[in-house]
Parts: sequence; C-alpha cells; structure tokens
Amino acid sequence: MQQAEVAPASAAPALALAGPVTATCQPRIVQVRQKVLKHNDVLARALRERFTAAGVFVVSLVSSPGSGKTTFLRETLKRLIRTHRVAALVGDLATENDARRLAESGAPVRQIVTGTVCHLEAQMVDTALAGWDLAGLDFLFIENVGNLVCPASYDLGEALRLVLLSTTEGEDKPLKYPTIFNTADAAILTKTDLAVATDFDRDAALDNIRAVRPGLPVLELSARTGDGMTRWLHYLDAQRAARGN
Amino acid sequence: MHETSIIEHIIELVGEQLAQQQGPVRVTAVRLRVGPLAGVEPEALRFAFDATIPGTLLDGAQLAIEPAPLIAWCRICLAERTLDSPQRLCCPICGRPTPDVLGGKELELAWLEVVDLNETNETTHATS
Repeated sequence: MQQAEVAPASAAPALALAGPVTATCQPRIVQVRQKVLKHNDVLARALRERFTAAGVFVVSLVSSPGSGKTTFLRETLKRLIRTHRVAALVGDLATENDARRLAESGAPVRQIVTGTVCHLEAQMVDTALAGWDLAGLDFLFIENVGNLVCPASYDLGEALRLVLLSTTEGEDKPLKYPTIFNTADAAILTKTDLAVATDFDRDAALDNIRAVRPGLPVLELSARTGDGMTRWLHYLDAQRAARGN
Repeated sequence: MHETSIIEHIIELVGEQLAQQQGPVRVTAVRLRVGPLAGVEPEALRFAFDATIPGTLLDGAQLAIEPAPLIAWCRICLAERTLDSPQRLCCPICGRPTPDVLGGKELELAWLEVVDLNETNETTHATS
C-alpha cells in the first residue's frame, strides 16, 4: 500500500519542469536527531550550574490552577524567612495577584507575566533573575503557571520539582497527567483540612500517584491550618543538605 | 497550549539545519519522535503545526509523528520492559513497579525531507 503512494522516479523531472520554482532532485532525507527543546535544556543546565555555584537551593512548583500553590508557598516563605534568606519568582498568565500575596511573607518576589504562554521556560527564569544576587540566597522558589500539562516539558534548572495535588481536585489527577508526576521529585498533597468535606479518597490518591510514579515521596499538609508544614520543612532541609548547600 | 511554542522551537532547529545545507532547499516533510511521557499531545501538535507554519520555512511541509515506546527497567526481572501505558509503571511480566524509565520522554526532531532547488532555474527566473 505504501509503495503505491510513492511517485515513480521517472515522474520527478516532468514535475520539475512544470513549476516556476523547480526541484531538480528526488527528495532526500537530512538526519537531525536532536531534542526539540535542546536550547531550553542547554540554558537550564547553565542555570543549574549557576545555582549550585551560588549555593542557592532552587525549588519549582507545578500544579493545576486552584490547588493552593500560592498559599502553600506563602506559608513556606513565612516560616523559612525567620532563619534563611529566601526569594521567589512567580509565573502568571496575566495578573500580579500571586506576587502580591507572596510578598506578604516579607520575601523578595518577582513576577513573570507570561501573557499567552502557559508555562515558564528557562529563558524567562534567566531574564527574571537579572540583578539578583543569587549568592545572597539560601532558597529560591519558582512558582510555575497553573497547568499540569505544559510545564512538564521544560527544565528550569531547579534542584527539586514539586507537583501539588489538592484534596479538592479528585483522586484521579495523577492518572490524567502522568507526565508531570513523572518529572517531579516529590508530590505535595494540599488542603488536607478539606479532605473530609470533599469525600477525598486518600488511599486511591496515593495508589494513583504510586502507579504513575513508583516511589515518589508524598507530603500531606494543610497550609491554612499549618498541619504537616513542619514535616515538609524538614524534608526540604534534608534535600538541601543532600545537595551539599 | 504549549504545542505552538514547541513548533516554534522546531522551526528554529530546522533553520539551523538548513543553514548547513550546500544549496537552497525546500522542506517537504518533518518527522518527530514523541514518547508518551514527552508532555505533548500528537493531535495538538498537528493542529499547532498547521496553524504556525504558513509563511515560515516549513510552509507546505508535512508533519509525521513517530511514537517512541515507553521502556522501563524492571529491578526484579533485571530486564528492559516495554510498557503499555504511562498510567501504570509496572513490569508486564512480574507486575512489580518500575520507577526507572529508560525511554518514552523523547521529543525529538528525527529527520527532514528536503528537495534541492534548482539554482540555475531560479537565477534565470530572477534575472528575466
């Protein structure tokens, strides 16, 4: 069947004479075999080296909109700022509301308004960091645009990528978005204080996370009540220590 | 939808490849290799491709998408396994979880199909 679709070799010269811009040869193949996002990967690698050299531990957060990223991050910054030098970058499609809410923690915050772009890329992070003294920071957090699909493909140079899942979203999110869970280093289960009200099936959620990413650490917490926050901060400290920061 | 941005990256890569060609060429087809854990939807890619290429150096080119297999290492069987679905990373033989993904994250520009344009003819057209 496939062979029938290929034009015989003798047809090529006749076709070539017919058009105003003419082809003289048969089509030929140019082997490429390159990653489509290689420019992002190269830049992300350079960022990672910069972060390591400056001794700043970089954590990125991805989740669907409304899963509690900003509240979780604000509460994390509030606690960390007592003992550490912290800062945050936040990506948002249009508004600066998230940056304002994060700034309530007292930490320096920069907004990356992505416009129509539904994810952060390494280039945007690089640009947003201009003028910041990375060596003066212990932790830098990068809050991605609320989206469980697009951010998965883009390395931002982070040392730790967190995927957030809230108890109000339903248990099957990991099965719907396996890629983002696969690229994450840990999952944060947020809004545990609302689990009862939403009939959240904790066991099913944990099973689904394990199915798409066996062995992924899961931290359960409520940023609103503070339950589980201490355990999360211990985990964060241990991760940072393991990287030698 | 980040597929539009993916297509823009592809156009950039194609531009780099064309710059290395000896004479003028026209791209007639682009072949991508996409794994189930690449984070892109083939249908959305096709849609974005058709919407993005007019007026670019890929204008008129066909898009072919070759699926890359999802391959994981089974720590129990000590063997590479091809998995059916990214929704369940476990060995199809022994059923144990397989956290070590070896293949399936690919988002690659595999090859281009090009035709060399007749320079002599083009020159004639340009000067006549």
